[in-house]
Order: sequence, then structure tokens, then C-alpha cells
Amino acid sequence: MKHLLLILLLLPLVACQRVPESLRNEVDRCNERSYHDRYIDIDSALWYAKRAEQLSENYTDGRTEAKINQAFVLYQQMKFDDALDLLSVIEKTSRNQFLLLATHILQMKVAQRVGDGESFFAYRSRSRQILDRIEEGFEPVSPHYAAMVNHAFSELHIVSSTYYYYLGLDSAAQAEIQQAYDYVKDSRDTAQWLNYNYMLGSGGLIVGEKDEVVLREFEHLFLTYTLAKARNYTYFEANALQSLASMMADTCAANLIRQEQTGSFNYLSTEYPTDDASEDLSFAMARRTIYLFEKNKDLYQTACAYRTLGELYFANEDYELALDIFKLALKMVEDQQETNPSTVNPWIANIREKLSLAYSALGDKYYSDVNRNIYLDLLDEYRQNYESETRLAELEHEVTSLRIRIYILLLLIVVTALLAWLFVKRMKRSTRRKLAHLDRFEESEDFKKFSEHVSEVCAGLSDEAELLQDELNVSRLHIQKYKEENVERRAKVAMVYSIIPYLDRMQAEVKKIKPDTADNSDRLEYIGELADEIMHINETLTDWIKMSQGSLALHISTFPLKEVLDVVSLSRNSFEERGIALHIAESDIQVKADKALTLFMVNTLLDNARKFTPDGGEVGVSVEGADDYVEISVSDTGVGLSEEDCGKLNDNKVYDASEIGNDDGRKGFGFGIMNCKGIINKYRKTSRLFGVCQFGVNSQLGAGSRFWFRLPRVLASLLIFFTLQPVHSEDLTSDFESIYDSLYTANIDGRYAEVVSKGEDFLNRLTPPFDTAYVVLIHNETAIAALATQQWDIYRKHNQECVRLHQLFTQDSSIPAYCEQMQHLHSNGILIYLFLILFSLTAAILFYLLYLRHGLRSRNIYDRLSEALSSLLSSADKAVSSYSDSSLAQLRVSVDADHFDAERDRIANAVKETSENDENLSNLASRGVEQIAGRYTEVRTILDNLFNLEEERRKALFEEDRIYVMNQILDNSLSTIKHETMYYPARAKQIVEQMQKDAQTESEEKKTGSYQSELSQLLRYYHDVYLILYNQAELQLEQHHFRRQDISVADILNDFSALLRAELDRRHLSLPFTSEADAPSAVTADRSLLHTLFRSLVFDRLDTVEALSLHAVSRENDTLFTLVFQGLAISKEEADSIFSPHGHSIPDLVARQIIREHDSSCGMLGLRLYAEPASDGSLAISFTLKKQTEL
Amino acid sequence: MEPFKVIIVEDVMLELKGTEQIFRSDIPEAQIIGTAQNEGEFWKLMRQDVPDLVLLDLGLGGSTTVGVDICRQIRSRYTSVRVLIFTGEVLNERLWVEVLNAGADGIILKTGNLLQRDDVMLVMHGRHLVFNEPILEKIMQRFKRLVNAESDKSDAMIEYEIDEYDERFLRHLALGYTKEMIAGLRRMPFGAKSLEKRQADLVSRLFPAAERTGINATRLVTKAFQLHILDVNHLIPDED
Repeated sequence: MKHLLLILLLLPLVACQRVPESLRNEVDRCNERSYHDRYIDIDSALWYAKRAEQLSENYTDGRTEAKINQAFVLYQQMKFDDALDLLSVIEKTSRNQFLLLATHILQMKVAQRVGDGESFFAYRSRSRQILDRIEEGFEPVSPHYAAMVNHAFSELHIVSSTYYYYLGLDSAAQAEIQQAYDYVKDSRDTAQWLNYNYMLGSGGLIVGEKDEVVLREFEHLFLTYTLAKARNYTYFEANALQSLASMMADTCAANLIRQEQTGSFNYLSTEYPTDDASEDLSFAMARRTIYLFEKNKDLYQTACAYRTLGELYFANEDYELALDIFKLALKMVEDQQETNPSTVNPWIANIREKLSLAYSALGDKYYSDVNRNIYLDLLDEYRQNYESETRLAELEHEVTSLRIRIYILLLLIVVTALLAWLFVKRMKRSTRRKLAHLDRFEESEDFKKFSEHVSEVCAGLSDEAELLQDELNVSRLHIQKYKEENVERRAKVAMVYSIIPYLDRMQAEVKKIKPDTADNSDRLEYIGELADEIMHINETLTDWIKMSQGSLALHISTFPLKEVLDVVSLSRNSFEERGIALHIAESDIQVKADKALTLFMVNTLLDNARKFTPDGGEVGVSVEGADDYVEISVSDTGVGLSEEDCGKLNDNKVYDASEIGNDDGRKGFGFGIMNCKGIINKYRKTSRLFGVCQFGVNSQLGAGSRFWFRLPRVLASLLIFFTLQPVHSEDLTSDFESIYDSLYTANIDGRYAEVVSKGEDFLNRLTPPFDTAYVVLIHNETAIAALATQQWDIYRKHNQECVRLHQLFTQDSSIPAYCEQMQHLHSNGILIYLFLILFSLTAAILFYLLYLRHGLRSRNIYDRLSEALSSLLSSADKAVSSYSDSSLAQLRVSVDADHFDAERDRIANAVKETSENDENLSNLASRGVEQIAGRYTEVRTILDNLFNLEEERRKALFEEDRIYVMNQILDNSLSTIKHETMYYPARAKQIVEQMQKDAQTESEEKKTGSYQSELSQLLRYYHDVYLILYNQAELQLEQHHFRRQDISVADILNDFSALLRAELDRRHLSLPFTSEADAPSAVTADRSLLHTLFRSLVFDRLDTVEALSLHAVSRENDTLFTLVFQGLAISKEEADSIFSPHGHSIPDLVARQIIREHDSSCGMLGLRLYAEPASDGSLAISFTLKKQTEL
Repeated sequence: MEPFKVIIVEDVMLELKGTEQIFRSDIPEAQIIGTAQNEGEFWKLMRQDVPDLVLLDLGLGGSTTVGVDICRQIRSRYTSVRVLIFTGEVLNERLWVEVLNAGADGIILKTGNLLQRDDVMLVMHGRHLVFNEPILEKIMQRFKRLVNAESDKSDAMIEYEIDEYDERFLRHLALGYTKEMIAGLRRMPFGAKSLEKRQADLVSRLFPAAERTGINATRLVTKAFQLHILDVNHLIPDED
């Protein structure tokens, strides 16, 4: 196929032209002569080329060849644009592939010389295409063309090598020149042989030891020189001589050659004797070179030779002369550029660099810099070209890969045909197997594996659930305990409250004392009794508080403050709603404290801050660590506090919170601050470790406030270690940047020596990774400084490095002509490629229509069904897998990502559709779907249970914390009440006694009046303080933990029996007890509080009771429960006072509190709780609960 | 005044003593025919002799609200007996309402000046709703708040230029009516489309410019409540 196409494409060039043989021979001869003379005598070459053109008549190929030869002459004369114009005409008109090849090769040469990489690769790729065809078997018909082809092969590699060499791509250049050898070794083309040798000798293409390289290069050059001279190839003679001159200029190399190649050296020495002592033979050689090139009218090379001579003078430190010569070289190239814009940029760049060096050597810094900048700009321009070149190289690669694809495609077609045959054969067998697979899906290996997997995951999840259940139980136990403690505290608060009516009565009585009448004794006595009673209640309270001290210890743990701050940051929204910005500090500090209380404190302070900060304000939580404590502060930009208020908050234990604040209607600080102070005091009391705990306020009116507290710090050494580790890559860049900046500035300031030493030092120490862009710049700066200080070696080193790195790393940019090129180059390949695809598609369709369709259809159904099942199985398995070995949070994510249900519905539908009315088949497949779904559902059920448990646990933890904090605060409040108000009733009593004494004395002056006012003042103050403190405690009671539920009386009786039995066992007591209900009914109550109720009423009496019974009597609206304690004789008075706040039996007061809470939370007022002596000398305690009517 | 008979129900001895003293010194017309410390004793006394006035403490023994129930029973059994509540429940407002519902003639809190002759006399002269100062203060506070709320409403109507249709529209939105349903009301001469417009208009009236984006019906209605344009206690649909 491919050959057919090739033949079609090459047909034009085999078609014979009807041209007289003699004319053809004459024209060919002229052209050959022109080719032969191109490196010997350029005028002659031109003459023969023109002659060939004149003679050619209708021999178009001959004329074309003549034009190519003329173009070569133009190329040699550096008339690049003219050459290119001529060549492009040939390219358009000629269809002779060999001539086109020669054209492209010459175009490549021009492109290489002017540094137009894009064109270079384009022509190279075109040449390559023709050469590839030739390699594939298209032999040239005449020896004339054969020579041309051979020249093309060698020239392609040599020019490419040159091109790569100038780009600094040494290895690519070496590879190319090695390939060139294959074509020049057997050739009779002397010019190419010289060309090859000269390339090798002129440097950079030989790898090895330095000395060895020098010697080998010398050999090649010497060979080129002598051969060229002998055969009059002036061009190569001059070139070789020029390179030899450069080589001899290097004293080391010259000495080495003198020793190792004595004969050749001596030959050269005699050829070029030196007449000036300061000059060696290289000068003479360079001058000779100039002569030869001028003679040959090769402008480009002449300039080149001048540069070489200049370099020699420069090396000889004759800078002025060197400068003049460089200027001359530059002028030659520039003059040329005026008439022919396309020119040799890299080469001008080279001359510019030399100029820069020469100016620097002469101390003319300004011109040195100017030339260096032009040099760098030219390099950059050249570089830009290189980028597009790379793109074109890619393109070439694509063409190759397209060809490979075509081969692969062909191979595939064959293989597919083979496989199709095999496939048909196996189809029937596998169809049978697939039906069997559907029928016994549950026995399939995959399903079994899945099933096992499900069991495994289920087991794992169940374990997890068990763990959670345990945790939940622990939490519930805590809640039960805290609730009991809470109701006890509520009872205490109720007791505190019961003092208030007494206080009111005292105040009222004091008011009624009449100072002028004599007899106030009843009144005074009554006041005294009231004071006594208050003191009495206080004592009970004190005893009670003492008794329960230590029962509620703080939950101290070490935790990172971040955990608290993260929770706090959840309230950001509520701040934003009010237009306040909330800033929460980041902190990795760990503290030792009670986490729930810490959270409570931060939240309390934040609530205050929010309340007192106006719209647009800011509130911040910051954390500051000292050696042994952490100070957490909440600051705001709010209204602030007066000095007086600050003082109150900082120093007073009791103050009227509603008085704190400004008179702008926003007074009232609540009890938050008091509670926080209470907590800090509790810490301090708990352990000496908490000695650092403190609470404080700093504020100024109108300037915001800062509330802070301190907790003990725990040093996390590991954390510190980690924070020290990372080194940021940004630092690296900034490091380079600063070095570059300093070097740049130093260069501007003229501190060159410093730059050289610093730059050298920095670059020597350089280890990867580094920022290449900056390294290039640093090399450049160092080179500039070395140039200025005339340290040539250092300059050369850094300049070379700068250029090399610059070439390696420059940004890529796109080329507009890219697509067009691609189209052109691809078109042939794609045509074949498309044809092959079309062919194979047609074949496949035919195959399908003739053989496969029927067989596939029936088989396809089984296939799709089993595919559907296995896809469902795999998605079920994937879902199940995602539920193993992961945390709850991950599990939730997995559940969200689980689309199994949708997948099942989809597959179920697909199964129905696929079965196409075949009910039997449909049932088979649906059964499979159900089996998978069934196993999957097992996992999900457990999972749902797990989530429910987790939610419950979270709720429980939350509730636990809440009650815990509340209890702590109640404790603090109660203890403050106790401390702060103890004094007053006693003092009141004292005054009353004094008044009584005063009344008895017969003194003239009765002080009743003043006593009265003192007493009433005292009581008023006492009353106020008491109310403040009570309100603080009472506020906590507003949060309810009552859990109303309907409980059957039977359950209550059972609970009672169980509680009692457990307690009796604990105390190793035995006691007859009964419990009965008259009718099945249910009540509304809090079950856990009922437990506490029973405990409170019964446990303290167990020691003295002989028998115990509990009856429940169902009445109209309520159920009456009566506990009869046999053998517990009690008077009526005693019975009456059991539940009075002054009754002093604490558990009974707790019971009273519990009934009161049922009273207010169950929707029925008037629940009873009373005690009475029963007829048989026993105590009966009765209480009622609201009856649940809809049972 | 004519002498009258009193039963005092008080479970705390010391308080009973003080109360008796007040009667003796300030209200000599009152003849204390008995005192009871619990429910049982009280009913026993009532069976013996029916008083003109019962001074009733709400909490007896372990039951803190039993007085409510006692009061209710007195009302149903002895219609002529006056009941004055004398209680230390100074904060439990709900209890006050309950006991007034149960038929009490007045409530005296055990705070401030306690029981005063004038209050007892008012009750004996047949006045209902006799309260001592602390309760009256609370009642006034609540009353003022109510009145203020009402004046807020009329202010808002004027300030935000709410006409009767606006009010009706907002009220029915709050009741969960759709715009189609509201348009169908007898006294609503607008179609759903113009209600849509009205809603946008209301948003621009009730919200400052900076907050107007993303306001849905719920937010609009809530704002109407906040501005007292709607009153949650009078959220009734029009009769249609």
C-alpha cells in the first residue's frame, strides 16, 4: 500500500524529458564544474553556473541546478536574502526531487548561518523526507544525481552539527558529525571530505582528555589545511589556517603540538616564519587567512578571520590594535547587513563580546557595557529562534510517530481478524457458561467473596457500635449522677430562698417598732426568733454544703486550647449578624484545666463582649503563653467600663451586677463575671498547681475592655520541635534575590572586586535546588564585574555559564505558523492512516453483519445481565469497603458518597429492559439483584444504628457538660451566699438583744430609735445582698433538665423494688417490703428523678424501719403513692415539719424539690407530698403524680 | 367594722405566730377561729365552723402548690367564704394566675409590708383582685409593656406606611397562605402578580437598602413582627 503511494508521489521525477543527449551532457558538465569550484574559486563557480543556465534551453532540470549553484555563490557572498529568493523560486517551480533536495539543503545552510532556527528545521525536515524516500529504495537514475544525493546526506549532518554546535548542544552536534562520516568516508567528493575534517578540527566535536582532543583536532585541521592547499580549496585552506592560528595562540596547545606532532609543527613554522619577537606563528597564519578569504571574496569568513587576528592581539595584550581590528570586523559585517538584512547574529554577537572585552581592557567602561548589552540582546534574539526550532523538532517527531502508528494499525487489523475468528469459536461455549452463572449467582465466587466481606464489615461496625454504646452508658450514668447532684443543689437554693420571707417579716416588724411606746417586747422577741431561725437555716445549709464538698470535683485534664477555640469559633455567625468582627487567635498551647469550664468561661466572656460592642466593632480572643501559665483574653472595642466599675469587678466578691456599666441604657453585666471569678477561685482552692489561676479586667471608658484569665500551661516539647522544622522554598528565592540585588547594586557603585569575590563565593557554594533565573543573573553580574576588573579567565567562565544557563532556561512562547506546518507535514501520513481506519471499519462492519450479529444479540443479553450484576456487586462491594476501618466522620462521608440505592434501581430497571420480555431470565437476574441488596442492607442497618448511637452519645456528652457546669456554678453561688451573708442575722440578733436590754433598763434616754434605724439599715443591706446572690443562683435554675415521660405505675414499683434491693444488698440488710398498685395506670414523671425521690425518702430511714410497703392508688387526676415505714413512730408535729424548709432533713428537702419540679413541669399544679403518723405507730409518706389519662 | 371569722392556713409555726400578731395588733375585728398547718387540719376546721375569710398559704409541707387545689375546693364547696392568698412565692407568676383562676380574692406576697389591714378590709368589703404592692408593681410593668407594644404598632403603621392591604397580606403570609390563596381572599382586590409587586415594595420599605438582597417571605414576615406591624397574639385569618 505504502509503496504504491510512494511510487505515485515520485512519478514526476522519473518521467524522462526529451532533451538532446549532447546538450544535457554539456549543461551537466558546467554544473559539475560550478559545484567543484565553489570552494576553490567563487568567480569561476559563478561563471559556470551562469553558463549552464544559458545553455540549458528546454533542459529545465539543468537550468534549475544552475540556479542552485548560483544561489550557493550568493550564500558564500553573504547575500542571504538574494539566495533565499532564488531558492524559493526553485522550490516552487521544480518537481525534481533530487534538485529539491539540493535546494532544501542549501536553504538549511542559509538558515543556519542567519540563525533562523524555524526555517532551519523546516528545511531540514523537508530534506529528511526526501532522503527517507531515497533510503526506502528510490535510487537516483544517474551518477550525476547519485553524487548530489551523497552530498545532500553528508551536508545535512554537517550543517546540523554546525547548527547544534552554535546552540551549545554539544552532544547533538557530536552525534550529527559522526553520522556524516558514513557518507564522506567512501565519497569522492573532496570538498565534503574537507568540510567534514574541518568541522571536526574546529573544536567542540571530539570527546576525550584535553590533550588528546587538542592533538586530534590538530590532526584534522592539519589534514584539511594540507589537502585543501594541495587541491586549491582556498576556502577550506583559509578556514583550517584560521583555526590553526587560534590553536597556536594557546601556548599550552602550541607546546603540546610541538612535542607530539613535531613534523607538522615544523612544517607550519617554516610556512609562517615570524619576523617580530613579540609575535608567534599564529599571527602570520591569521594574516594569511585574511588574505585568502579576501581573495576568495568571502566576506563572512574575512570578518571571521579579522576577529581571530584581533583575539591574538588581545591575548598578546595589544588591546588598542585588537580593538581596531574588532571594529573593522564589525564594520564589515554591518556593511554587509545594510545591503542584506539577513545576517549572522550569533557571529555579530561574538564580535560584540570581543569589543566589550577590548574596551574594558582599555578602561573604557562605558563602551564596554554598551557592547556587552548588545551582545546579550543578540544572544537573546537567537535564543528566541531556538524555541520555535524545538517546536519543529517535535513536529518532525510527530510525523515519525504517525508512521509508526500506521504500522501498528496494520498489525492490529491482522491480529483483530485472527481474534475475531477465535472469538466466534468461543462465543457459543461462553454463552452456555454465562447462563449457568446467572442461574447460580449466589454460588459464584464473586458473590461469596462479597458476602464474606459484608460479614467482616458488619462485625467491625458492630464492635464499634458496642464501644459507642458503652460510652453512651457511661455518659448516661454521669448525667444521672449530675442530675441528682443538681436537684440537691436546687433544694439548697430553695432553702436559701426560704429565708427571704423571714427577712421580709423582720423588716416589717422592725418598721413597726414604736420608739416612744414602752412595750415593744413581743415584737422584739419575734424579731429575735426570726433571726434565730435564719441562723438556724444558715447552719443547716453550711452543714449541707460541707457535707457535699468534694463530691463534685473539677474534671482536670491536659488539652490543647485549640479544641476550645475551635468550638468557640462556631459562634462567629452570631457576631457577624450584629456587624461585629470576631478574631480568634491560633494557638497550639496546651493547658491543664477543666475543659467544660474553660469553654464556659470563654463563652461567657464572649457573650458579654458581644453585648457591649456596637455595630462595626471588633471582638478578639487571644492566647498568650508565659512560662507557667497561659493567659486567655477576650477583648472588645466596645463601650468600656469606668475605673470604678473595673474596681468592683476586680476586687469585690459581691456587687450588684445590674449597676455595672454606663448610663446609656445598657447597664447590667449579668452574673457571668461573678461565675467566672467563682470558677477561678475554685481552681485555686483545688490544688496548689492552680496558684497561677487569676481573673481580671482592664478597661477604659469608651476604649473597650479586656477580660482575661490564666490557666496553668503544659509545655508540649514535641510541638515545638515540629514548628522549628520546615524550611520554606520562598526563603530560597528571596535568598537568591537578595544576593543578586547586592551584586547588582555593587556593580552600579563600581565595587567590582567585591562583586567578583562575592559572586564566585556564592556560586561555588551553590547546591541544588536553586532558582535558575537568579543564577543566570548572578553569573552575568559576576561576569560584568570580572570584565571591569579585567580578570579574563573569570569573565570567560561566568560568561559561558551565563550563556549556557540562559539557553537552557528561557520561557517558551507559541508560534502562529505551527498549525499550518503541522497540516502540511501530516497530510500524507494522515491520508494513509484514515484510509486504513476506513478499511478496517468497513471490514469490521461486514464481519459483524455477515457473521456476528445474530450470535452476539442472544449472547449479549446474558452478557449484559451478568455485567449488570457484577457492576452492582462491585459497587455494593465498594460501598461496603468504604465502611470498614474508618472513623465515624469518615463513615459519614462514605454514606454521603454511597449511591448504591440509586445504582440498584438503575440496574433493576436495566435488567428489566435487557431481559426483553423473557420472564424467566428477568426473574433470574432480579433474584441476583435482591441477593446483593439484601446483604448490603445488613451493613446499612448496622451503620444507621451506629449513627443513631453516635448522635445519642453526642447529645449525652453535651447534656453531661451542661449539667456539670451548672452544678459547679450553683456550688460557687451557694458557697458565696454562705460566706457573704453569715454575719448579718447574728448581728441583727445582737441588736435585738441590746434593744431588749435597753427596754429593761430604767434609763432616761432610751436608744430604741437609733437601734431601730441601725437594725433596719442592716436588714435592708442584708436583704439586698441576699437577693443579688439568690438571683445569681436562681438564674442557673432556669435551665431545665426535666425529662417528662409517661411511665406505668408498675414500672415505678419495679424500679423502687430494684433500687431498694440493691441498697439493702449494699448494706447487708434484710427488710420485708411490699409494693402494690390498685389498678394498672400510668403517670407523667421524670424517671431518673423518681429514683432520686425514692432514694431520698427511703435510704436514710432504712436503719430504723422494720418493714416497708409502697401502695399506689389511682385517683381521678392523679395517682397517690404511699410509703409506709413500719416501726417508725413519729409525732404529728414531727410529721408536719419533715418537709418544711426548716425541717433540716436534707434528703427530705431534696424530695420536696423533686415534687416541686414535677409540679411545674408536668402541667398539673398541686401535687402533694406529706407525712403523717399512721394509726399503728408507723410513718406514712405520701406523694402524688399526675395521672396519664390516655393509656 | 363588724367582727369576722378567720382561719389561717400556714405550715411554718414561726410565720403563723407573726401573722397572728399582725391580726391581733392591726385588725382586731378579725376573730381567728382556727389555724391549720396542713390540708387535713384545715378541712377539719372547715367542717367545724365556716369562716368569713381564709388566709391561705400556697405551700404546705412538702407540697409547694397545694394551696391552689385547696382554694378551688373552697370555692366550689363554700361560695361565701373569701380567700386571701398569703404566700412567699414571690417569683412564681404562673402560680398567681392559677390561684386567681381557682377563685382567690386576692394575693398578698410575704415581702415588703406583708399583710396590711387595708388589704384585708378590701377583701372583706367584697373587693376582688386585691394585691399588695410588689404584685401591683409587676402588674403595672406588664401593663405598660403591653400598652407600649400597641403604640409601637400604630407608630410602625405610620412610619412604614402600612395600609390595610399590606397588613392583611403580611398577616396571611405569616399564617402560611400562598400568594394565590391571599389573592383569593374576599377583601383582597389584588391578583397574585400585583401581590408579588407589593411584596417587593414592602421589602424596600421595611429593610434598609443594604439589607434588601435575598429577603424571602419568611424573613419579611419576621421583620413585620419585629417592627410590631404584626402581633403574634392577634394572628387570625380573615373570615371568608
